Amino acid sequence: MKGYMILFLHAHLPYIKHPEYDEFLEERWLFEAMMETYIPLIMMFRKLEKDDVSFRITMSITPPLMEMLSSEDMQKKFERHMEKLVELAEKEVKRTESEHPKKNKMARYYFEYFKEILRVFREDLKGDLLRSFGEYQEKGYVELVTCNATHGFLPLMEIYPQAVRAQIEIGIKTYEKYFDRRPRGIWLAECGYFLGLEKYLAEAGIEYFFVDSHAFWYADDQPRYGVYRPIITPSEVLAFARDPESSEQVWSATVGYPGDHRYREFYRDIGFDREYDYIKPYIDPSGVRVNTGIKYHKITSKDLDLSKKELYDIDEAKMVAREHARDFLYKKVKQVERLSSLMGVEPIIVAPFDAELFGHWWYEGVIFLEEFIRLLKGQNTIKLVTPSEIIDKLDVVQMVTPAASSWGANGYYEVWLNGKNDWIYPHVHEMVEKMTEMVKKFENMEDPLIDRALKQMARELLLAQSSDWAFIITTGTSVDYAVNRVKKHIMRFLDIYDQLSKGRIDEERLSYYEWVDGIFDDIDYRVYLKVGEVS
Amino acid sequence: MKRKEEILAWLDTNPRIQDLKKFAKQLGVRLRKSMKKREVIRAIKDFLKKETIETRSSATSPGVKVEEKRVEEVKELPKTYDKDKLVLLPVNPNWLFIYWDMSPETRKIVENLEPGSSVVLRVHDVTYIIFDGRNAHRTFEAHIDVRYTSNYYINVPMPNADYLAELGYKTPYGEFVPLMRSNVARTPSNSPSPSNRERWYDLRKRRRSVFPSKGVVIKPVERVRVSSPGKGVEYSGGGAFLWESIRSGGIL
Repeated sequence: MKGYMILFLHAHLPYIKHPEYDEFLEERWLFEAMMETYIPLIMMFRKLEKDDVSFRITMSITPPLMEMLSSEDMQKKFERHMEKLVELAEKEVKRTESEHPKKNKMARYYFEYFKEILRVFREDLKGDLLRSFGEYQEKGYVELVTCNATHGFLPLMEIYPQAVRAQIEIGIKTYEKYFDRRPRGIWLAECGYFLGLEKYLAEAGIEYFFVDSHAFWYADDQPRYGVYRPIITPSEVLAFARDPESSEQVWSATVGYPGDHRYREFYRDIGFDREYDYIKPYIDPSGVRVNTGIKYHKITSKDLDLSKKELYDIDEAKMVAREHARDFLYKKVKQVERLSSLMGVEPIIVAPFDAELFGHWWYEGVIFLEEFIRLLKGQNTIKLVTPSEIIDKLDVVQMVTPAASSWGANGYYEVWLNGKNDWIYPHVHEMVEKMTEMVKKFENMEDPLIDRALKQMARELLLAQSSDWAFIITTGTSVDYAVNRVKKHIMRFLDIYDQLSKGRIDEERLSYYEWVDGIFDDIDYRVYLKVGEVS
Repeated sequence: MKRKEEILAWLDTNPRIQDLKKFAKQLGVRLRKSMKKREVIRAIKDFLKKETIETRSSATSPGVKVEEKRVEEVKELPKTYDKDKLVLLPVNPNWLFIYWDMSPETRKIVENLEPGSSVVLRVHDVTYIIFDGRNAHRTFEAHIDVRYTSNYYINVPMPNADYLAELGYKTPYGEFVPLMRSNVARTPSNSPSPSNRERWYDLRKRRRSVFPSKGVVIKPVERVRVSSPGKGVEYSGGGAFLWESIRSGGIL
């Protein structure tokens, strides 16, 4: 082999779980990701395994996602969601008979596909996706890393070491709970890295993490091989940096594969197209129209009005995805040849993506991945590896401290800190101080009710810290929901703080908070006592 | 909607007027003080009738469940925590964000400055030094208004530099009196390091070595910001949480 590639999928959704509602609009985000990305990925693993195609994929499944996927409540809700979708697809099969044959073909496709997803979920996976991902890890095909607890953006909590530690340690503990081993690596939310963060990772026993390309380019010494070899920080944690070329080929607005005109158009969905009375049982119970997952149109042309899009053909799109996989492999091979001739050592290409890009946003993305993996067999220039495989073989490695950075727009922190969302930080910072104050105050107290109150305070704090709310507020869609979530977590936290200060805990109210914000069952808030910087 | 039925059932159990009023208030039903129990029940029932499945924003979402309202009145977030606090956060290589909060004592000082005094914010470049109030490499000053705002964005000249801020006031005689001092915030770097050393680490022998660099083998092709009229902003360099946001100028 002349070079290696780490294909990294970052699977994440914020903790959106509303047991207080039978159906909740934003819970659909999880169901869509399960139906279009997570389950199809597992189905891909199974196919590849069956066909004896070896592969290596590195994945982060974030702690909130672990908590949602393992929740029986959410599993039941997903089943109900899929049952209704199968029902809708069946209606569509009949309905499209008198419409265009291409639509009818797609309706039949969806009907069969949804039934298959539901069957796999129920019978093969028994509702438990995490166990399946864990099994593929045990078999050596997949390496799972963790992520910081609630995907909090760590650079903006640098001034509170205990908050950084809580995010990291709870991320590790949640991983251990579901995968029964310690994670070797971590995906830092949004690749958010600040100088010194690696010390906390070292303290927590993490061996490696990921950063964006410019974290290496602007490091304290220039890495000899750019982003194409890992580095080690002075605190002896390894870091891998994103390859800009791979990102651009897949992500880019202008030249990326997902923009091909023959691919499925995400925004044209029968949830919006069908007449209200017909679609009403399948959209949000409030009557708000939402995506159903049944889509009949292709991108056609990017600038075209949605109403002018042409009909989609799944077979044509699959063919395109395979073509793109071939093209991607060709480019990777050429890249490795070019790099290895310059470097004299094997280049390691790190290609991280949001997992939900594949299947959800880019409907044909999973087919693309599968084809890419299958094609790798026919050449011997580049090979998929996991970070651990690289680390275990590594002899010497350059020592640098990466530069502060993120993978957000413009590379730093402004997506999560700007005029729209900066109001969040005074509150979440104050919450860290109040959290620490209360844990200290009751450190030697063994009162089950106080223990519950402190646990719930930690949950509210961590949930308020999710980078997702600040991100959504910046991007401008679902803003009300995100603002509301931040406010609720702050208010609930302050309410409990108030009760603790007065020494009167309203047990009923606490139970309610535990029910609606029930993440991290056995959370250990004592981590908030560790306020000192790492020596 | 089963919730509604539950409420109706409860109304039939002859609840106390105080409970009814409290419940009505939480539902958002308008009541007059003089209302009798019968009237309150009527008002709640009328409210429930109107409150069928109307289109709502996702924020309030379907069938607003009552338990939630019962335990949580939606209050505004606190405007102050009555603590002295000055916090400096890096935004990018040339911008810092600063916010503050004040104890009642500090607020009093600020609000009762003698005529001719003004509140100022000072930002010091303290890269690689321990600041003693006078030894900053550079000091910048801005007059600020603390009555209506509690945060500012600060444009600073140096990436990869340590900054520290002080909030205080200037007396009519030009003397600066600091009231609060912030943490140190480091702006991120945005250019390759001028360093010409290479450090290497042998993982097996656990040994470090340092030598002069012969130059990098792979030179980065750095990103550059470009814009053209009518094009949206790309919010994520890849990744991040893109649900429902791609259309607003995202990646596809």
